[in-house]
Amino acid sequence: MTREIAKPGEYSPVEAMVVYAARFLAGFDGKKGLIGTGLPLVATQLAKMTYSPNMIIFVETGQADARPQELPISIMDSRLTYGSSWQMGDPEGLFPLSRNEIDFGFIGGAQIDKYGNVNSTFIGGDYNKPYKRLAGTAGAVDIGVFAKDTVILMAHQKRRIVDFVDYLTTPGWMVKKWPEGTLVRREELGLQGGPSSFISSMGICRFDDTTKIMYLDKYFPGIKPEDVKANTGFDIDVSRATEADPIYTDEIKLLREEIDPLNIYKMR
Amino acid sequence: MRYEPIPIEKGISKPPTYKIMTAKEAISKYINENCYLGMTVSAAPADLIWEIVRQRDRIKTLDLVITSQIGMSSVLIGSGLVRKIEMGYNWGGIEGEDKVFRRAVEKGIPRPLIVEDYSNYGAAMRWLAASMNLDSIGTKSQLGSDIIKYNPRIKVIDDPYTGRPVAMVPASRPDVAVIHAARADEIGNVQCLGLYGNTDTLARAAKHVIVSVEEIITTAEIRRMPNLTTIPYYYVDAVVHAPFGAHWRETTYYYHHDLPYGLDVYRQFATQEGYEAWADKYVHGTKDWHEYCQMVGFDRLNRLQQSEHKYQAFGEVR
Repeated sequence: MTREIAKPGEYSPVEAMVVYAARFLAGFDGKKGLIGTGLPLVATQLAKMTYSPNMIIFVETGQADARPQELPISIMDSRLTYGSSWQMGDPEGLFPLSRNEIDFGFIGGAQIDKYGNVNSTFIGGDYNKPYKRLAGTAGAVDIGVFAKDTVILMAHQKRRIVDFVDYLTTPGWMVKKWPEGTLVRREELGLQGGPSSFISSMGICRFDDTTKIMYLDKYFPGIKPEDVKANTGFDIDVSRATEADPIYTDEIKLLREEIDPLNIYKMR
Repeated sequence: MRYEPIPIEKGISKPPTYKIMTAKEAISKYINENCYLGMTVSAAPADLIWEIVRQRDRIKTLDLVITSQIGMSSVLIGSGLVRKIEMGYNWGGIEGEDKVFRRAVEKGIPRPLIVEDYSNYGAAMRWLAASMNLDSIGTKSQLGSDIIKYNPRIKVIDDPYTGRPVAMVPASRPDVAVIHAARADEIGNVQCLGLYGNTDTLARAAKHVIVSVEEIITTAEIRRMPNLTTIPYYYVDAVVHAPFGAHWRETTYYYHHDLPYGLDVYRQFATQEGYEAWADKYVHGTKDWHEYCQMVGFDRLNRLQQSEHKYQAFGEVR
């Protein structure tokens, strides 16, 4: 029985982002991942139901290996405690992360730059008088520093994908060395891992092996590479991009009917 | 404001006496002006927070230290009590932007707010350090990020044995910790079910601990399952019995997060007038937690409880 393909327009860009992220997580079946709050939880739920059922989910609040029956609304939600194999406290819940035992981290953010640094602290103005103050650092910093691989999920908008972030919350490939504040490669500070991919609502981006600058790897059906370039706040290389495999209707149906029927995450 | 590490005083051990009291008595007795208040990432002590806001004219100023919070710190910030917040994460989560927090930081309404950023890991390590009576503790987290540039209290040093860089965070010793947990006995042994976050480290780090619990149980029951005990009695000053005491947030094994209420609250928090209107009705307009539960509606609270018990209830084997 062939799976029916969903045409672009039958699903929203955010739903596409979540489905491609879940497919990306298929490569982490059986591996340990630290999941951030927000849309990464939806993608993880979809992945656990379809492509990587044996993925081990860790969260910063200490629940580990949970099997949520209903979509959790945050990482503190009691729905994420159901079925978990072990419950740790805080900071104990992050000790596996600091021992480099976590295979990947899955986070969102407010701004991302061409080196994969993510900002979730403030936008515009300066630190003491910001134009828009945001949530704060949360555990994204810890994920960016320690996880063997980091996957970032964010909607593709020009004002959010910039040349350099206003505040470097989560270290990407070019980080700040203190006390001088000079920009160095993360390996120089002894940080392992690093972001490998950025999944947006338009495509999947990766980081060049030598320059570590973001380039477009795959664009989603219905999107043209020129659209991606127009919606990015720096001059992104789209020459190496190919079209991603199409989305199937059963994936969209799973999202809309079983995972988030009430549209709590405002995906559509 | 105190930045010097405070030596552990004699007599910090509390005796095994009868500690059950009302929230009003506990807050009146232990929280005063310029209190340095700590809250954990797990169940939110809403009943204690509401009482602090009711007594805001007496308390006037607080310095808050948290790791992650959704909602409860905003209730305190909007009331004009908070002068400084040491935090890892403070936002509305799925319920939306925390406009109360944004207004305080960006515009100083209702009162200018100083923010000290740490990562979740760094913030949690501060209480771990204090619980071990250390003045600071090292972590490799936060290296490479701007947190170190803007927070002068985090100092990067070379590890004395290997020479590798390590970020030292200062220990945090709150004056008072307000904690919500599952159950306690009358002398103050506290047990948490499910998510317990920083409960154990914060209780050791703080000078005084006020705990609000869903159930009061006997000491014999505590002794049956000592693994569940997160706070031994000698750290606890006051025990407050508050069923549904974390509303609108959740308590694992008891009730779910009240998402429609939270969404509505954040809509009202979009303006300072909206915050004041909500607080006048639900906080100042109720004299204790029972009246607040009546205002929210016990039918609603019981539905939240059924929603949680559909999948997990303590003591049942599924």
